[in-house]
Amino acid sequence: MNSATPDDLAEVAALRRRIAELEDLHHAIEEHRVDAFVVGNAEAKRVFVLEGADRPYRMLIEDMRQGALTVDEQGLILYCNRQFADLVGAAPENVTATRLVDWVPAGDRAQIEAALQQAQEGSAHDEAHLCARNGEISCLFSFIRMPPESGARIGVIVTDLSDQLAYIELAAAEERARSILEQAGEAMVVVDGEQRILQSNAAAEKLAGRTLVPGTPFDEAFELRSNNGYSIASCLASARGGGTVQGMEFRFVRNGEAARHVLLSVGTLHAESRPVGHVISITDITERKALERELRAQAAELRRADRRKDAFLAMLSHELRSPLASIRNAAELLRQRERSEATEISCGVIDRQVGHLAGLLEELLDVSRIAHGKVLLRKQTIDLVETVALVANDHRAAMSKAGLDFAVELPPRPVPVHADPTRVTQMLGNLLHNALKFTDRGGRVTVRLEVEHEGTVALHVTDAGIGIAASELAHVFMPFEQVHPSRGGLGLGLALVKGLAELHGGTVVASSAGPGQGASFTVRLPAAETAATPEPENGTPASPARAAGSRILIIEDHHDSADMLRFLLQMHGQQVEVARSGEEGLVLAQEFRPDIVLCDLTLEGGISGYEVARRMRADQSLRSVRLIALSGHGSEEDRARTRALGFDLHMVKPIDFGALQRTLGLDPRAGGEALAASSD
Amino acid sequence: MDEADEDRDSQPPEGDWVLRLYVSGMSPGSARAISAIKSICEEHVSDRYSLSVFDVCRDPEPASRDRVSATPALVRAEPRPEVRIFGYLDDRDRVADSLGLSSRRRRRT
Repeated sequence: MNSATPDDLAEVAALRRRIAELEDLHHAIEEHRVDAFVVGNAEAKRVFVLEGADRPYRMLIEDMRQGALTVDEQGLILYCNRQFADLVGAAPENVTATRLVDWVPAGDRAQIEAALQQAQEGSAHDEAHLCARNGEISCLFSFIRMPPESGARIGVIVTDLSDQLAYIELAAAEERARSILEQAGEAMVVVDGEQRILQSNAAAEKLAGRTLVPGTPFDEAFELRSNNGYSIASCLASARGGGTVQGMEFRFVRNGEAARHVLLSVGTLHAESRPVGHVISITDITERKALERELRAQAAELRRADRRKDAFLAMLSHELRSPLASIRNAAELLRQRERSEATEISCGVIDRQVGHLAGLLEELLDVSRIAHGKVLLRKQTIDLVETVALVANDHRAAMSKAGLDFAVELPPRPVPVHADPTRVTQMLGNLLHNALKFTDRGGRVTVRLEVEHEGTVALHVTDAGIGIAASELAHVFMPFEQVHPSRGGLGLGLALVKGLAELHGGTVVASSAGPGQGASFTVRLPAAETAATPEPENGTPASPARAAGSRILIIEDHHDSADMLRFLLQMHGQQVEVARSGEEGLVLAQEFRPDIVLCDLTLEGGISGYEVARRMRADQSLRSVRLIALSGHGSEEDRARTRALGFDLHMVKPIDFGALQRTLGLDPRAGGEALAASSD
Repeated sequence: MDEADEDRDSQPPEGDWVLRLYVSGMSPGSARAISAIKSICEEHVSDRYSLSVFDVCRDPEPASRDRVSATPALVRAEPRPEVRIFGYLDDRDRVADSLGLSSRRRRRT
């Protein structure tokens, strides 16, 4: 080998240079110092680009939402993108070199094969199923013929239709939600987890007074303040925690305007059961609140007016009672002093008219008391047949005088009810009075009592009067309501019947076939369960008759009343002193040592009658005095109060002298009706 | 190929075949390689081979683990000994010979 020729040596040197060149190239390639290769012979050259220009396209295809494949003429998969591998749930290296039909359910394979055949000529589309990761899904397969030099024959795009359909549905749902949001009258704002606005409606922008660009922080768009210590953040947190956030009140200050009042409700939006945001609805209640305040003020004003009315009625009746009592007592005096036919007639007129006026006053007070629940019933078991018969008898004369045919139909057996006999009498009296008033001469009035069924007793009063229009029927029981004002009265009678019936746990209904057809009123009361023993009469029994010559002290600031009482009492042989004030009364009591004190409760100036009673009862020497209250008020409350303060009796003005006589045991023969006064 | 190899060629080595093919994206060479290898496998060792096709453009890692520095390349991991073939793989006879699958046998089948 050492006999090398110079030619050999030259060749070796050339080879060495060639090797060195190749090593150099090899290093250049290894060290990434080349970016393209030009390969080929003189006829054909090809360029291989490293990390070349196809990279963006590649990435587009790799990451697109559809599956992308290339297949050869047999349908063998030569390339698949990541999405297709994900769809079928396999690694890309295990999808390549499989057949497309391997990923299609058996039933759809022929269809895909045919489409592949067709695609060799042009393009084809087919809807078929794909064996996806989560079972079969519906897909659209698009086949595109590829240029022969690409090595693949056909390109396939696989679109997941279920995904697409879901997307369409989602878009429709979103559209629906958006239109609901827009059409909602309330301001509604959707915020994300960071309280940034995602969506809002026109009402929200109107309330905010600005455009609500998505991304705006909620508390920047709506500056909300609360007096109750909560904030928008605490509301959202509470809603996120599953709490109900509704009607939280805030003050909303907008562009330096006066604060508006808003109510906030918050709902939480979930995605895959995780909270992702909130829907906040805001209701502007500024006007509502103003209206509410106004209504409340009006209601309060009405209540005040109502109280003033009641106070006025009580005061009016009090003020009217005293003169009535005086008139009545003056007439009594006249009758006793001057016994003539003229005085007798006049006194009768005065007495009846005073009685009528006192009755009206009592009615007025009753309505007011019933309205305020101040009527206490003195219930006892009574036989309604007996009561009705008595009341009917009392009205028989009036009926016949008015030229009316009056019929009373009563059951043969007693009908026990548990009721206040006075009030039952009042109810029936009012109904009969009503029938009398509205029925013309020659008409007929019927009272019928019947046991309807177990537990209910019905009392019908039917007339052939002027009737009631259907539209008026609902109003006949309203106080002060008069269907026929021309017929007089205060319009309280039927209101009282209703109030009293309801106090008894009963009802009253009116019916009429119309104007001119007469009317019928039915009071229904619960029947007494058993014939219970009558309850003992409530009240203080009359004191034993006193010997004439009792010492009586009258404490009364109303001069006429006081004088009249003194006069009448003196006529009956009593020793009477009058004090004009509470203080004077207390002084007089010490000197005069009365057996009986008649004391007005409302004394002008100075101490009241209540105070007089309290001081007398506190005084050892006056403790045994019989103390009688003279009051303009007769409710249970009033009576309880006077009783509590040590009065023995409570008499309501106008004082009926006959009743007073009986109470004091002055005149055993006196049997006149107690009018408005009751001595218990 | 020596004489001994020629003798074994009449029978393809027994056991399951594990083949890894390395290609680069959608190049024509890749497409041709995939078609050719698939068809050779189906012909000689159908039902007892697994073929994975790695795209080095997507992820060069598997190729580097197999010491593959150019594509297309085929690695016969099983059965042993490991066989590696570089360059265009659509010359079926060359590939079949390298894998120990004789052309005579192929013609008989």
